[in-house]
Amino acid sequence: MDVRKEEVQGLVFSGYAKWPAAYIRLLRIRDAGAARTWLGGELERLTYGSSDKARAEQAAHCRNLAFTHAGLMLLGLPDDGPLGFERAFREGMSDPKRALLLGDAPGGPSDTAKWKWGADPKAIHILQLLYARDDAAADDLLKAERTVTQAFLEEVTPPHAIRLSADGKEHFGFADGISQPAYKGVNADGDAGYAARRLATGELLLGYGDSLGNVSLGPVVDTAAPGAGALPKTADGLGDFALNGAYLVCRQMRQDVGGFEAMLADLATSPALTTLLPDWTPAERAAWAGARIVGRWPSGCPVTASPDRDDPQFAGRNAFLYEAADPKGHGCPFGAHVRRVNPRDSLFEPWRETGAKRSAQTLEDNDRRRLLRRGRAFGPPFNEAPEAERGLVFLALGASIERQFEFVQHSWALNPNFGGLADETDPLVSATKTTLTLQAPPFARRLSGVAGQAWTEGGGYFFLPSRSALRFLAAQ
Amino acid sequence: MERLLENWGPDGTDADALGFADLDTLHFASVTIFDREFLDALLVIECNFDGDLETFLQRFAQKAQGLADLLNCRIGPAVSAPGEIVETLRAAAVKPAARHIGALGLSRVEILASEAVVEEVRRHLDANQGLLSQAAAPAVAAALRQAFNGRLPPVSPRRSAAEAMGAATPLVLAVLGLLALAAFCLVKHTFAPLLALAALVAIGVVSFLSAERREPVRESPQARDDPGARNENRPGFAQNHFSSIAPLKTGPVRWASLRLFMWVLNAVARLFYTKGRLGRIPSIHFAHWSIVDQGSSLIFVSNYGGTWESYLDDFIQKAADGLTGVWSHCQGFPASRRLTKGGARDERAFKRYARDTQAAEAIWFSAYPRLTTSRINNNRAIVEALAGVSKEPPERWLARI
Repeated sequence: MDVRKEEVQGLVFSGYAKWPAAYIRLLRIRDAGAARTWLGGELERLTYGSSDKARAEQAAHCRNLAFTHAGLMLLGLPDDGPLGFERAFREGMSDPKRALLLGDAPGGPSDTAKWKWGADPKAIHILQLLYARDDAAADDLLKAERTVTQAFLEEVTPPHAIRLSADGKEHFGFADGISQPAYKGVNADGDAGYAARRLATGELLLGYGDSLGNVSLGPVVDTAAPGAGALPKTADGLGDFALNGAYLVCRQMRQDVGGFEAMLADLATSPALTTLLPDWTPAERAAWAGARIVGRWPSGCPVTASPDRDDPQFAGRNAFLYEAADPKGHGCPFGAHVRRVNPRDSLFEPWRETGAKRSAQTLEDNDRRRLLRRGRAFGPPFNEAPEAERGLVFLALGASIERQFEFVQHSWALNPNFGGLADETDPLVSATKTTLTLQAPPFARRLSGVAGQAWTEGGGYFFLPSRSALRFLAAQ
Repeated sequence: MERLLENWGPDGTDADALGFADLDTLHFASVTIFDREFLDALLVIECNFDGDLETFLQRFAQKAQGLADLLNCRIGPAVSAPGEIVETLRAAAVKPAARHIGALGLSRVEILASEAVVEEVRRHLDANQGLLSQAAAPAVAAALRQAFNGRLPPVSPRRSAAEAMGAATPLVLAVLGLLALAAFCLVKHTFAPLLALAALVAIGVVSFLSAERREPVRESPQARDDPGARNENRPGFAQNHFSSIAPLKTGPVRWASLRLFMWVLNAVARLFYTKGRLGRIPSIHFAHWSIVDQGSSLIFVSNYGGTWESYLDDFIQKAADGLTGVWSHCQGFPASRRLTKGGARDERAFKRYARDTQAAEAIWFSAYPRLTTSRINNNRAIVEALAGVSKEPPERWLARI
């Protein structure tokens, strides 16, 4: 089925790289009636997909809107129950049961009780994204927007300036956002990623078939409801609120760059690295350790492609698989960040015999876990203002929070037995200290004391509705 | 009974009143009250143990202080002496109609001993990495074997020949029966018995398909809140527990097809899935199905590695045929076709069904909470290599550490 691009919000199609300055606002509705009136006008000013790329690129600003479950209910979407939105979306990211799964459990560094926003998922209703050409333009845009909405929308937390750095690197100094899935009918003409994977539209947008052929469903509304005429019809003749919408996961990750660099310096003198790389300088060993933790060198060059140095010819390379090039983890360790959060065709039990059939099967299984990422860094670069707060606002789109974002988090990144390992978690994003096993001949070495320099300080689950669904909301 | 179990639960004051930790043949256990509108409340004590039932019951009754208190909440004569407890449990024991075991042939003691050895091996390598770094794999292997000489637990074969034969018997007998029938026909120059058999099968298939088509589809609404959530994803646990009960569809066709399908499934699993995986699912410690309550309901009890979400997704992506074949005999299961098609593949409907039929266990015990089946089987392979009883070359088994 073709996707009507002008129905889908633009964040689905673009990370807005040409608008590097942006603000993210987290809002609470004070007056639902006034908010609906505002939404009626705002929805025409939002950025949607477009077949006219040249014209779209002339826009001074880009803007998108997403809503929490509480926000949709407040605006008047009828309660959808378990047949509508996913349970994860209805409960929110900080629900205690979900916090256990996501590594935000009580007592830890990412404890939801300590979050700057999102600890109460019902207290946030709208996520507004404002993109501009430069910092000054973004400031102007934010100022104007605050004036318009201050009477009926309250900022739960001060707006975050999120920036795309000129070199595309996050604060630890590594190129980010390299692997992005291609979806049929959405961006299939773009970067096909590795192994020419083109995912089913229903892995990203609601209302389409996913990789198993199930239609990704969301809430439907009675056609007698006010404004229901704006909605497309389902096969049963009901108003389809979900079609062309997507879930948007937002997670504010704080990063301690000084701590990260100190950790690498410590690792450089560890027994594992001094015996593995006896003739290297400590600085070279530290860089090597960082690349093993991430799975890529700072340029984005995969460790699998170039194990011992950052090779610019492979910068940002994405067309590679593990089973053919690096089945034993001697290049990229099984527990490295990129191999955990996107294992490609990597086997869960690495000691098993590999082969083309297993590789293809694993790729197919993992198609159901892919995330379309739109995150950006917040805070100034470390060398400009070491004391300032900084980190990443992680934004990911998908048709299922539970099967995609949450699964990647609990069954891959934070799974202590991932990939045949024992008692270790993601060496980059774990909030507490862990171990990274380095597979090497003749036996694996272990780097202890990795991670602990990134933690969660806010987050929420949002829904990015279609243009028709926004019209419906405005008409309630 | 609920008050009693509350005290014994994960947050209770007397967490091991049933003495599970002391029973060194017990892998997993749970206590669940199945209290649903379609049946009289049912107390289920699930035990996955080494050895035979009788030995286990004798030890269980001796060790468990609270067992009599628990049993005396049921309908039936009061018990106090160990002999009475054993008798009561024996009379109520239900063996699984179909089952899978991920670490087949490994006792609890062996599993824990192997983990201890492998942890020790890792520490040894960490401490000696400077010395061993430049050595080739065979030399490292030899050094490890020497260092652990005399410190290894006894390594007995995981499965005796008799057990393997026992597992193969049902399918072998079925095939032999068919061959005997064919031989009889050839000798007697008559195809009547074969034709009769074919007709019988055809009648069975046709009546099944027509019964299946006539069934009303009533999908699970997920009216209930997450019932399993109380014990799920406990910090420090790499495993979770799933127990569910669902009313069976009625009628002679479904009665027969369930039993036939479970028999085949069990025979195939026991014969082929003996190396840890069930199909492509690597994470199951124990899973079993039992028909209970005078044949009216189906219980599924499982101890698995990883999260609920990953387990259910494995069902959907890697074992949908087998699961649908069994669970489609239950009311409320997502619509299935031709016995094994459809059903579990409808992800959201299947997950709603699973949550709706799931029961919250009051007590759940695991003897090795951090271990997954992959890790248990991998540990065992390392110990076998150290003991010199495996044929893996040094490069391969050293990579397992």
